[in-house]
Amino acid sequence: MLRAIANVYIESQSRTRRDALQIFRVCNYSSVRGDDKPLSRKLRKFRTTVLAGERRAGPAPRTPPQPGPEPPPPAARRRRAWAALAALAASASLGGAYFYRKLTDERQRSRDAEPTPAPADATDAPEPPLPARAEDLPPHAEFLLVGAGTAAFAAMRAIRSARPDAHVLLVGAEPALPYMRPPLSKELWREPAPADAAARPDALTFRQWNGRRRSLAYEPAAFYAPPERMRAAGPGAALARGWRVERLDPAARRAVLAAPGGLRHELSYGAALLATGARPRRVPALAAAAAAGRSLALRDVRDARRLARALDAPGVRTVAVVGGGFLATELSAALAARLAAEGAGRRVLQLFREEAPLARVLPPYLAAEAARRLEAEGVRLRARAEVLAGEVGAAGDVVLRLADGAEERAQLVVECAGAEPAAELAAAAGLELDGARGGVLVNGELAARAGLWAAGDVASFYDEALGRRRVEHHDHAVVSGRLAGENMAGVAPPRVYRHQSMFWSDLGPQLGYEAVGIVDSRLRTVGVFSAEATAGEAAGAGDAGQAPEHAGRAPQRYERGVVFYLREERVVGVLLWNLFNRLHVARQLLALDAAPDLFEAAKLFAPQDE
Amino acid sequence: MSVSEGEGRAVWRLGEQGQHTLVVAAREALAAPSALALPPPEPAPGLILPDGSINWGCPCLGGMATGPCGTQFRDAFSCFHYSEAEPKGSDCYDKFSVMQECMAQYPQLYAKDDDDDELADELGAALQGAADASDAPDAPDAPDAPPPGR
Repeated sequence: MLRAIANVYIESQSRTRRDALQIFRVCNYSSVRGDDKPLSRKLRKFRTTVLAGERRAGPAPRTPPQPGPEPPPPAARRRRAWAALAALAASASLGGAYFYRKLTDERQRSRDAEPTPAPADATDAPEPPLPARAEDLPPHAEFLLVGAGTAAFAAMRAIRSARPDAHVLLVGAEPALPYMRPPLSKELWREPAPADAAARPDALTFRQWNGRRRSLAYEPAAFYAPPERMRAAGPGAALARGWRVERLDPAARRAVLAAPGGLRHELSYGAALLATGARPRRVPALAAAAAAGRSLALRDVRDARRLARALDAPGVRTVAVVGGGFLATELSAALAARLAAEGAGRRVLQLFREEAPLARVLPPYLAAEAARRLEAEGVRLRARAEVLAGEVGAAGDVVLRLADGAEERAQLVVECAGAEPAAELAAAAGLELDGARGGVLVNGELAARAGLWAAGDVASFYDEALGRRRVEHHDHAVVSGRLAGENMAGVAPPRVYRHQSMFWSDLGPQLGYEAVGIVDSRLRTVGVFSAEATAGEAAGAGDAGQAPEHAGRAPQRYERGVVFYLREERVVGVLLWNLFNRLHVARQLLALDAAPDLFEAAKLFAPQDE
Repeated sequence: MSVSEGEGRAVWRLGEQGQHTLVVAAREALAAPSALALPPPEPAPGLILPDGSINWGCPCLGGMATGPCGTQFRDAFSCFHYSEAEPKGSDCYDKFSVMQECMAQYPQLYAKDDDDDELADELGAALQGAADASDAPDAPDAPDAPPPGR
């Protein structure tokens, strides 16, 4: 971490080192700099995913660290380092390096002090809430964050950045430390033992793009105030896990917290954020299979653990993924890759109502391409499949009866039927809900009422450029959580939602896509592809003399390109198909009041270049 | 008409209502200069803001400014950044010590990176090379980087 800061500092002081470390690029958000080399695709992802820069990897020890007994480093050594570095730090640009060096001793010492993690706990026993006693909770929270997911965590960061003296209390129903969810449908399934990994979310690490391991949890437990000091409500972030906010009174600014076992605690607050997220929508036809433990949903890390365990159970030959959206498609690809690597002949079957996976997102020619890519990954696709019933047969099979009379058999089903915002608390608090989109209504500043904001999946917010929206993506949770946090801190005048969040997905190792704005195939779209990056009947599209309209059949394969989504002559969404590091251009297009000539716009994305 | 026609382009209208326009163009047509000029992108502040002050909200700081030693870190880093001593930061020893004391209580948080040893090597090389960094041909000064905060 400190190295990263040192390097950012070096760079920001007008010196570019030849060996500028990659981490610097991760940290450098100054995309306006013209001399920046484009980030690699994977680096871009990393940057967006992790929310908060570089952090050390490694399991979090369960036992508290033992401060104190270690002797300080020898003074002579300390002074020597000081003198050597001070001499070398002849220019401001070296200050960062020096700054870093001052801390290496400390880190060197702490390396030996780290206790080994406790063995994995494989039981399903519910974990007790933390703190375990209601009286350990503070009587007042300066900033109360309802929920402890990505939006709440981003808000905490923003509040603490703006107000270093702020006391922030995060209240999350999950027993895990705040963590990022994207790896649960991506990298987790490339781990050797995902069931074991997901059993200990606080220690879960995954292998990121560059081969280094990274923690799922944003921060280890030591980052948050220890339970025995929570009541003091000093500056810092405190986390009540296994607790939920049961009642909220926005007028009196009071909240009631509850935890299993009849624990209750009432507190007052100064400002509150609703970041309760969403929960998976279940398929009614699969209720019986779900009750039998044969049909699962995937949302949080406990779901991931259940799925990973079920996958390991004997007799599972076919995993049926029900749904055709982002999660279903991405998970199908990830599970198929895992099962293919096993080489035991186990298969993934994806069933969806539409003609092709992602058909509600992609224009039909690209949805067809997505289908081909998934099949190449080993996913068997069942289009136009409406599941009417899922009966658990004697042999443990789930027999999926489809509306067209056909049947499919699987031993495990994953329901990816979307999510619904968890807005009950907001409704009970008298807040206005969005009847059309679900979620709690907030304005462009993400405020619902005085002293009350909402962010992430649960917020139906007003976007100045694209109108009212509710977005269920990781990056939106980051962006909206941060904005809400800044506005809650109140140091600067409130800002409105303007930075368009993005999302990304992969369908196997050869295809990734990312997008900003509204990406919906019911809209008009214009896709622009380079002839070299397509294959099929239009291979000669670039030849002189070819009729521009209806030049034979459209291509069959699409390697790279850009798709614009239009509403009332305005670009409201941009999808980049295997094109990376171009989202800033897409965001600029979304800011325009009227759609430009989209061929000219497409040139700005250089879809002919990898 | 949201997309113009021209040389080297094939255009299809796809979908049930033909609402999906597909353009496949020759490499040369796409590589030609665009007639479209976009407004400047949304500025994304780095660690040091254009006015020379420190951006405590920079994601590059990770948990440093927001964690349990956040205030100590800020004091030390501010002192260093605004230091006019020679060498820079040599007047900040006390603040750094306070920060170190705080961090020593949280080895979980302020422990090593994966590659501390590699880092030490890199750092040595960086310090070595920094003297001739200004005339290294492939280390151009960033033309629009913010000025040092002095």
